[in-house]
Amino acid sequence: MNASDTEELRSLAEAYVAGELAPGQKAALEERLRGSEEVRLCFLAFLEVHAGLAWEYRGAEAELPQITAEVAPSMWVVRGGVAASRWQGVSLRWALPLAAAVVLLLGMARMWLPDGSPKPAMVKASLHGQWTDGREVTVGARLSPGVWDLQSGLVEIGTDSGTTLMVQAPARFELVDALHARLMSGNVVVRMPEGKSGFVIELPRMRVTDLGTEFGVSAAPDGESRVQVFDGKVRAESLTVPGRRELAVGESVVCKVDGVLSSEKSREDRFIRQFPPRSPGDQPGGALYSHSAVDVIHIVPPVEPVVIDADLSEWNRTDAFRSACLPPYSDTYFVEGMMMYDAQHLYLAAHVGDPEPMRNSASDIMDFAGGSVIVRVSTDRKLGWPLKGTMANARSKSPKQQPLPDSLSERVVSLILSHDARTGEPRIKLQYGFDHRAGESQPSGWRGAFRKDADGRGYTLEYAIPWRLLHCENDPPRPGDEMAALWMVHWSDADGRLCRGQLVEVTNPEARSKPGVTPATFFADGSTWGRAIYLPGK
Amino acid sequence: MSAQESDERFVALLLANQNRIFRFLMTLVPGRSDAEDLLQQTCVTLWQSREKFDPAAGDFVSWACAIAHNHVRNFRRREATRHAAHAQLSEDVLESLMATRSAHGALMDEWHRALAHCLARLTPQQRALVEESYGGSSLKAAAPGAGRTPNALYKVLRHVRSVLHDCIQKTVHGGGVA
Repeated sequence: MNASDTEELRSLAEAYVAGELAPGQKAALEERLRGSEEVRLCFLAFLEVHAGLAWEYRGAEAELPQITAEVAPSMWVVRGGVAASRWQGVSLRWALPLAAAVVLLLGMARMWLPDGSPKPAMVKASLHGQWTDGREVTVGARLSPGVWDLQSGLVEIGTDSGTTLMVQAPARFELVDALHARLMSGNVVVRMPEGKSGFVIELPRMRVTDLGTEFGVSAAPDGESRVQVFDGKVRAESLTVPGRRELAVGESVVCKVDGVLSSEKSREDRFIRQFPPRSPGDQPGGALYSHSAVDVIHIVPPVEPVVIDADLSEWNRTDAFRSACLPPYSDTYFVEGMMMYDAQHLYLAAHVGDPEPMRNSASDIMDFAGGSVIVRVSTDRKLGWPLKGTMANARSKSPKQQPLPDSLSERVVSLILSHDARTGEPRIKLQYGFDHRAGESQPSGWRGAFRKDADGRGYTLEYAIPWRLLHCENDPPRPGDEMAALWMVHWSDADGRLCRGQLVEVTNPEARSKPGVTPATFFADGSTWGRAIYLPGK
Repeated sequence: MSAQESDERFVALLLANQNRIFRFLMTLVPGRSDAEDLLQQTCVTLWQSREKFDPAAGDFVSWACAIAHNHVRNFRRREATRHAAHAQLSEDVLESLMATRSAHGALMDEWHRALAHCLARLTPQQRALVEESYGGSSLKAAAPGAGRTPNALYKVLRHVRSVLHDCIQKTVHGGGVA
């Protein structure tokens, strides 16, 4: 489509949106839409602007909650009876579901909110904050009572009682009033101003009452509830069995499924208590990104048979590397990666910190974006290190810039490893060369396994890949070989479709120190990859 | 899973995806108040039909949009007997638009994410007009306060939508939202 076509289509779309499509315009628009997928996509893009604005500004005077009702039937009471008045005369048979639906819809129907309805809190600061419905968290927005789902980022909320809540995504919490909240999942640090007390936060298994203090609370997906005191005192009460404890600075208790409050060791890094310092040179990759620091990965022979079960007890982790996203996400988003080899296989294993683990539901073409580990390796010792191949060179059509052997080598392989949430099975895709041709999905002969962490905030993967799939079965790597390798980890949204951040590791220190290097640079330029050194058996 | 847990999961799904359902509806029915009414009807139907939703059979958004589409069909039938039929697109065109939308669902979400990024790049005056038009009164009511005619304001709004469209395309297809 040229610029004139686009402009004409935009004009027709405007008439459509305004409901003023004249018969001639309608015929012209339909003819175009029937004719080409490109035109349909362009038209949909116009409509998305209109629809997106209508959605974004459905509550322009205040940021409204996405969830304004608890799910339990006992809570299906519309606050203040505002919505109920709209449904007078509806048969009782439909009263509950309609009330529920009405409550759900309060998020978009601001006319159902009474003027001056209490909004007891305000967003004071946000670092890459995003609600689950995709809206950015707006600093200064007032928050109504109700349940809020924070998908990503770090958000500071101030209630009208002077309490500060530091919420770390992913988190789901209900704001009840200025002195009362419930945390269904995630981490929150609560801080009261000096001389004040009385803020109550309920967790799935525990109620915590502030006695003038700063403390962190967390709720795991299985309901495990935890409180840790940083300053002052709190009172912790089990919700299911008689039990109450008063905790002082440095103390921490956890309440598991049995409802019993048990002491545990405090960990300073368990909660994020303040925003990280910002600088003009902040990372370009969004909330989740890393600064690579590992130059070399050692690949060692196994000392005992490798069982592919995502239990890494047979791995010697002294040769593993650990890398994490930049603070404040370093304790949540990280990877511990390791590699081994023998005459038949390359073995890969990783433990990945991921609060939305093993949810990959992305389409084949975007499978990395739904949560994945990508390992890129060269198995051709003639290419040496650093590699010279690049994606641009591989795709070059210029006679002056013929593709180099490094760029096209079938022994430069991308291994894209993920867990398909739709099938519950491990997945592998292989792509060769820097032009990523002849990609193979689920070829025969490999083995893989995934295992979710007990606390639901990470996963372990383990793969055995025959050298045949890396095109070197007749000449596999030998002790002493030094070749290029690169690791990348991708984290997704809760749906397992959209990439929320990434980490790049095992890189060339000279290349990564150059200005303007982005994740895409590492992927497309072999000279930025780090070294993989194959060690002899011990 | 208990009934309560099942309901909770369902509501979480519904709430997480209501913007997608609303945007889908606005593709088929561009009038905002019509789309809001249809979203309400759709949510009620979804709630009443929640036991029929089988996560193993397909994703929630596809199922919810299929139900939303049924409401749209009824709405279009009603509208066709009343007025403005000429402003509606033919059924076969809508079907092909939906097929395109369905094939590019992730891209639509990327566009939506990029919108917030692009809104932040508007001038304060442009943002105020968008807020006024989509979140407040009609252009007709807003015109006197802005010292312009409704038609002039409409032209500015068209321009702003065009700026946003260009920005979204550049943001998404030029490297993604940071």
